[in-house]
Amino acid sequence: MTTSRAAERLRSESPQWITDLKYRWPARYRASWIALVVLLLIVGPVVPRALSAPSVELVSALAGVLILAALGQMLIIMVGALDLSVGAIVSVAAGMVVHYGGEGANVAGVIAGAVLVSVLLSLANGVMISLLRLNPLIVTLATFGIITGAIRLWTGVSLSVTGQAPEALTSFAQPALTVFNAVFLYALVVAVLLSLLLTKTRYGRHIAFVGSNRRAARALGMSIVPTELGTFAIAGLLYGVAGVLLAGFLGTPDVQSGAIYQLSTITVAGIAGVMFGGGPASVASVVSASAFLQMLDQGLAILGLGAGSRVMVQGFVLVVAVGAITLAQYSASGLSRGIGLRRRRPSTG
Amino acid sequence: MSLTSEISPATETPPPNEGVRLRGVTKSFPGVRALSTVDFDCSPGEVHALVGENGSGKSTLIKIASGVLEADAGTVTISGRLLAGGGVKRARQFGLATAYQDTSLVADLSVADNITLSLNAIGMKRPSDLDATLARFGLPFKQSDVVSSLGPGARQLLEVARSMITNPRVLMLDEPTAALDLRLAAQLEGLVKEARDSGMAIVYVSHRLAEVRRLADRLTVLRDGVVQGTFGSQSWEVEEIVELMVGAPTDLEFPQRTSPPGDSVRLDVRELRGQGFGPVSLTVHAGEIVGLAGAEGNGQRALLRGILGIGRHGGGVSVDGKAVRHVTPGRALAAGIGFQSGDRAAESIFAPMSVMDNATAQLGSQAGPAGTSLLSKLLPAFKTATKDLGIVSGSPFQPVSALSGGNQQKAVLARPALRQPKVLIVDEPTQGVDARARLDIYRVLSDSAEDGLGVLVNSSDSAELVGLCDRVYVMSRGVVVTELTGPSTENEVVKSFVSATDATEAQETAVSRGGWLGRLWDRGTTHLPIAILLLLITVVGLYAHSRSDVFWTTFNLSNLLLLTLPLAFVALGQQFNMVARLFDLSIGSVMSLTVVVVSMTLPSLAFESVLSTALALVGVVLAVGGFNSVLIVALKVPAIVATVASMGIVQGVAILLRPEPAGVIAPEFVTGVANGISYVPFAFIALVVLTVAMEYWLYRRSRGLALRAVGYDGEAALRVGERVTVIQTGALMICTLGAVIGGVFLASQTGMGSNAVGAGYTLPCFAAVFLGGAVLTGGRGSFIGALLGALFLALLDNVTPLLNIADAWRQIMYGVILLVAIAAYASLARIRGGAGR
Repeated sequence: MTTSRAAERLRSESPQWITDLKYRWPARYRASWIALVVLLLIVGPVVPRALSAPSVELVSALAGVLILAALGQMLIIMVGALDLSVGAIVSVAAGMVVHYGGEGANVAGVIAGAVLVSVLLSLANGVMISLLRLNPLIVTLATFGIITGAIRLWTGVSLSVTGQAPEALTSFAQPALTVFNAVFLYALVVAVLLSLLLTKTRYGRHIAFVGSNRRAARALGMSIVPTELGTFAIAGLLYGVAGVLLAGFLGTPDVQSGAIYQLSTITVAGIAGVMFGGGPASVASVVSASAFLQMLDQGLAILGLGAGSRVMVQGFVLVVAVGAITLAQYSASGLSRGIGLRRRRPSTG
Repeated sequence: MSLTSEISPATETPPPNEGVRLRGVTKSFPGVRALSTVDFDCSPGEVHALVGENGSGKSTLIKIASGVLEADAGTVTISGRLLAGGGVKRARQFGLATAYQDTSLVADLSVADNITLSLNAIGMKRPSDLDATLARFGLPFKQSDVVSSLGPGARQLLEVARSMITNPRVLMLDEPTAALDLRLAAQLEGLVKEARDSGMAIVYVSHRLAEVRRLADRLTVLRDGVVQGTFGSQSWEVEEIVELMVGAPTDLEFPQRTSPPGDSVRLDVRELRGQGFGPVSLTVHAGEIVGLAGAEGNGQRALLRGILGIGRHGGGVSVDGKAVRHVTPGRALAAGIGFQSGDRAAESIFAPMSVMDNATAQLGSQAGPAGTSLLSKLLPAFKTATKDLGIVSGSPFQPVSALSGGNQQKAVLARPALRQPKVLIVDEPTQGVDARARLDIYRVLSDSAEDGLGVLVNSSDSAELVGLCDRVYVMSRGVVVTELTGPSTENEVVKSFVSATDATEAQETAVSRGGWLGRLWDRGTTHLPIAILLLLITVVGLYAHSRSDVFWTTFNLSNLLLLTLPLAFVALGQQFNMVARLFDLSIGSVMSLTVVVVSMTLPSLAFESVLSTALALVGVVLAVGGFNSVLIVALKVPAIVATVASMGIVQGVAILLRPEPAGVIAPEFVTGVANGISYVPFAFIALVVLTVAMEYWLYRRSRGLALRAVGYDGEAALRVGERVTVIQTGALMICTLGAVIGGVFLASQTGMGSNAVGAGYTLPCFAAVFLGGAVLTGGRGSFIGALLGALFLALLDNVTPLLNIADAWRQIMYGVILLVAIAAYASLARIRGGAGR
């Protein structure tokens, strides 16, 4: 033991706190920050208009909504699932606010209702995935279809006669503080709260434990199903808030407003180094990855790229991010778990 | 469709058998050097035994010689021919066969299919009379039995028999007798001797030295990846070999406890019954270490889980005299039972999380007030544990997966050290742990007992039980057969469970109860969906006919079948993926892109237009399928993530090419597709013929069998020499091809280029394949089922407007059908799992 300790000391000539930091903030968390900085350095000289006040205001607002939705996606990936229904749930929340928030409506009540419905929808996913052990992809693909169809039946494409979000909401979501839109600031507050939940509470730590190794968590006496259902509920809450704020910022959302979040939240999770098998993740990296993706989109839009090219770029970014993380994992933990093939062990009791 | 291998053993004159030779073989895994410049050889007509402790590198050596792993340096020569990274197939063609301890059998396939799979992989055909071929092995089961219904002993025997069927020149046996009882072990010994006398070179891995003594002509000891020495048949003593294996005299390892066990009973287990064990009663006193012994797989692990309430059927558990009601792992923990599993990777550590997180995983209120978990409390607790247990890590925040096995296990044992339980249950405390860490772990366990805990240890290491335990319960076939008080020698323990295994009784070889039920299920899952779908289609058709006059007209029926075409083709392609345990979300975008491409290249049915369309579409298949394959097969990116990304990229390309709907598709093509006999279009007839041919291929042909094997158990398929990556790439390509063909038919319906028409097919495509009996765990599925699934969904699509149902309902219906389909199959599978065991 003494020899290995000596070797350990030799290897780490840097002070302990730097070593600690290297492990607490590993490369997969740093990547999105580096990407954001590099992007800003490029955007500055190449498309200065992207950094003008109106542009930053727009980017920060959309990034705020994306942060909220992506944090929900992150939570669901942390417990080892994936959510393809996020776009539909965000649309529902946005749609309900407009549909019921017309003249003389109790706006606070409507917003609370929209968020509650989002929580219930995500919870329904959770019940099927966590309790009935159905495959998350198929479940959320199916609920995506069901919810999208249902909202069209319920509210119609234009949501209401005027299609306008209630004024109390727009005045809450549209103002800007310096150059940053209010939605961005709300999202940051939510991110800080979520980060505290995940790192400073036993419940939050259990989310990462359950996601890293469900069977081990069970054997160690953690309550799996409540933890997972809670995670789905929180994700639903985040989706709901994202949808409400999206409606508030856009003013006139439609049934399709949330659709883009299916691809973009997964892309953000990829850039932010969230592991798709489940396990710990960094809230801060999701924030920076959201800002990165939205700023990239804005830069490309100003350069005159159409919607198609931008979607394509998003796909490429996801591939690069996931590819890089996969390669990094190979070099880190390598083939210690054998070849990436699974064996189904016949249970013999 | 017979396979001719590139190197046919029959045509080439084989060089004389020179056995297997490894020279200077080195293999490292990140952080571990598994083998260092190992020389090893085995000549024809010789049994060369290879012994060593767990983790000494035996399995790595076997896998390198068999071509499963590639050496970092050094050479493997099989019968004079250099293996040189040729993989399993090449090694097998050179005449080297391997029987693995954990077998390379696909559990969900029958005995005959497993044998066929293995022969096909090296280009051989299944013998016409398999029974006659198998007769010489005296196997206690039928070739139609499904492997999962066999006991572990029977499986092991099958694995060995299968490797001997081809009369290999070199045979590698990895712990072949581990799961066998005495009678079967003797039978196997006979087979090995016979093979040796016929001139086979046999590498025999075992840790049973008595067996090695009887069989081996030579013996090589491996420790920490280094050869410790090679001995002739009679020139060794057991003590000498054990010392070389362990590296240190064994009797120094165990700490002495000063205080004797107390009188009060801490853990009391009464008549506990459950899956694979029981009824069992046992007690553990305060300050006592109690051991569980028995041959592997006699219910020890199941019993430990049963105490926590996992797989428990009845009986009671009490701690300090207080009964734990409706015991679950959570309740057991609250009552003071701390359990640490022996299956570290699967059930004990949280690999991506830090050492500190792992060590403090079970901390309750000590972690902070009111449900908080504060670093200021965790860090000191972790530091204390680090000092007590001697955990070596670069930082508390280092991921536990980067540590050695010994340090991982110490981090695991820090959990009970930090949250003092009343009873500590540890399963295999030192498996895969180096000798030094063992010492620390023994000290921790004995200190726990000194502190008054009741400690229950399950171990397959008899020396450990002797050195550590005050009492040992010996288990056989799920029940306690003997209780040894203060066992003094290893032999005493081993003898107790060896003699407990009744040699006259055929143990675990008979087909289990679930056998016929399992077979019924295996047939059922293929045919049941087809029957259900036919019924559904009839019911919906009749209902629509009764409600609408338009439904049963030539025009409408023709329309319905045309509507089926795009969905059916994309579903057939996706079914390939599902069988191979893959998944492709990008198909909708691929269909859109196809429509866009066709709208640009096919203004008429002139030869050049058709040719350029075909070329462009082949390009799409190669580009998208290839891209998906690189990500999923080569880079091992999860299929969902990879195809979500390619979905975005392909959709983007389609939008780029056709921002707005435009481009007229050849009108002759549009009308031509509808041509047919009566209301059945020719294209639909072709589709049906193709589907039936594919179904025949999947269930009757060797490549179909290989595809299913890859889906069921990729590792097993790899071990018999199938090119798993090639098969997976093929499946992804065919799926993209299906989407493109579907897209072409979709183009014939839209008549115009549009970038959004394909997106709506993703959901129904998955609904169709799941209706067709696919499961996400791979191996199952039916092409006919997928076709009927597509027909059913197209029927719904067709009747909704006839019955005046709003369009949005369709999407809802697809979603509900998808959910019902997976829920139904999941519960069927669960019922089967429950009934079969």
